[in-house]
Amino acid sequence: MQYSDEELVERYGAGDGESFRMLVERYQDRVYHIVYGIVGNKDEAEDLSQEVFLRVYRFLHRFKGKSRFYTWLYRLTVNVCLSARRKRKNEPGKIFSLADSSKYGDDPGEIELADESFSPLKVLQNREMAETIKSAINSLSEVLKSTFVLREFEELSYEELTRVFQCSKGTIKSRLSRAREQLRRKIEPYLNGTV
Amino acid sequence: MNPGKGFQKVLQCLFVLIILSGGMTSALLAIEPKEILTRSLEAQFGLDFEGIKKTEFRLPGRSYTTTTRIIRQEPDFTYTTTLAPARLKRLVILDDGKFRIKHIRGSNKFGFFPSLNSPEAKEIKRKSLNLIFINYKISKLLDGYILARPVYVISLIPKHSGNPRRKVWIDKKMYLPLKEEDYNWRGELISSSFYTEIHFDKRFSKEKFYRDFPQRPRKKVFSQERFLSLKDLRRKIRFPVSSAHYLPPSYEFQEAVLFSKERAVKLTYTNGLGVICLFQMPSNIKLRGHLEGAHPLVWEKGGRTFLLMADISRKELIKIKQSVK
Amino acid sequence: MSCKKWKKKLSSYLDNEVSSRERSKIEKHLKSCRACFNQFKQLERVHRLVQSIQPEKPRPGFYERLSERLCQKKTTLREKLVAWRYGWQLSFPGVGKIAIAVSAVLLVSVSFYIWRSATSYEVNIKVFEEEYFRSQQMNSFVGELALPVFFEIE
Repeated sequence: MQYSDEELVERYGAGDGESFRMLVERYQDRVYHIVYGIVGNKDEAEDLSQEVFLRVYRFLHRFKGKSRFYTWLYRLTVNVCLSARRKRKNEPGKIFSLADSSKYGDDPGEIELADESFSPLKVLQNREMAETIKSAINSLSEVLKSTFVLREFEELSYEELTRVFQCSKGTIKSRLSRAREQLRRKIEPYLNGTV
Repeated sequence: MNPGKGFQKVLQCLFVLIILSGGMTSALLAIEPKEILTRSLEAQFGLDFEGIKKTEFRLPGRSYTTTTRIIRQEPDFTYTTTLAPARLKRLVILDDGKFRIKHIRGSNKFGFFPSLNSPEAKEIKRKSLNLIFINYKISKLLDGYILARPVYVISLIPKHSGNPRRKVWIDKKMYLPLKEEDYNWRGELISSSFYTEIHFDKRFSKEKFYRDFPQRPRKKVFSQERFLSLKDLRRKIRFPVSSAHYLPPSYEFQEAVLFSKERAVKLTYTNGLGVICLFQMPSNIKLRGHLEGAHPLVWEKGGRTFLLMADISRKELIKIKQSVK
Repeated sequence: MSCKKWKKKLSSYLDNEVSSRERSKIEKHLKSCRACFNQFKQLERVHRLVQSIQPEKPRPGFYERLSERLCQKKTTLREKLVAWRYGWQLSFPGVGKIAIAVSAVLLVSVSFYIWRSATSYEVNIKVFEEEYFRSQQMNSFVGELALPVFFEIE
């Protein structure tokens, strides 16, 4: 029998531990994918995804069911990622990994530094292209990146995005537009003749 | 006259007599299962013995087994040490009829609870037994042996379906229950306890057991208050208490318990064997964690959080929930 | 309207998050403006490329590692308490200790009172399960057991 998210949350609230496991197993891949998209590093993605579910465990009783469960979960995910990034920013020696576009501009040399742990993409035929895209995504600012990742990877509607980020639709529109424009510019040299 | 025929008749008469007298004596000597249970209640409070008891507790997907050594001195003293599992080995419980003191050996941790050997506790048990007499079909099965001791085997079958049943093995001489098995309404074994060793009439000097325990705790802070009536309870707490107005057939109020530093209330209802627990507390107490086995109903109403736990059908649980006011 | 303004709308147009009136306006402009049209085509390609990225998955055993961390969290809190007590024994001489203790107790009890009446606190749901077992055992004939499940002295 397949329970809806909301039913699982309710059962968890009623003390059914198994439903927590079901929620984790339902969402672990998606949360990991989002986190990886934001932090661009496997070890950190694992660590932060777990942190997300630890918080779910602690705070699920605060979820009041006013929105869909996944928008609540994704909001938590984004918060975990952003606060981890903020923490890392303050740690000396690690600043380079935060290829903040406003700081580093569009200099590809800086972007390369953004992530040293890219795994080769097997599925995408054009490996170089895939890496370029990933690295381009990674170079976006944290806020642009997380909005973009949730839209592109999880296909959240604008309405849902406003709930995750607690901002207006206009803000979402402008963030996505800026994110895409920055990406487009970064990979423009590769765009002609591909796809 | 045929002498052979006359002899046959005499034999026949003798046979009938033997059968009759045998039946009558066994009927005279046989003890009613109810009487066995009543005597067993007295035996639980009136014997000196030392024993090792194994208890298994089953929940969906897991089970717990503990082995404890129990020294019982009548009328109201028990000293319990845990032999297994290893993580509980330092747990000692001393119950002297007034307090039930839990202690982790080698630490300065002491917990004070109301005694389970007290007259109040015995009264609760007596009431439960009376409910069993009303709500259960009690029958004696074939006698058996436990630890090479002859035992009565008694089966308790609920008159109303949807309730737990029990099988209990009671020592024929001492009337102490040596083994019991509880099954839930679905017929699954939920717990079993039995003695793996028992020595009757063993006297101990109690003093030595007190060595680990504080002689006179400066302030007796109970971790909980038990055996309260609803009236007692309402006097003791600041928030209003709701109770269930619908109970499945055969259930009655048993006791109110105040715990978790007087912030939470438990009301129990019983049919003598099964229990329904209704917990309530102010809503600023949040529940953390989850349960792997039990499926309680949890809800909030009027600034209070309620929790209802019982091994009965979901339909009945919901009916009780709706009646809580 | 300048091209810059049109270009800002291309992203929402791509996501189909524009009104129908706006859509027809954008489409009309794209037909007439080569630069905007090219840019839109590029955005579309970027979108398709991003979509083609294979999702990253966590290593197997994610839930098991998570459960381990759930358990660890509890112990670290306990360790902190022990460490705190140990440090306290070492760092203050007798009289200072008493003074600090008295003011700490005062402070704690006052703030506890305020906290207790004003804010929420948490209780592990297992405490209730344990209470439920206690009640079940009240009706046992063989007698209660040393509750094995989550013994805590409270």
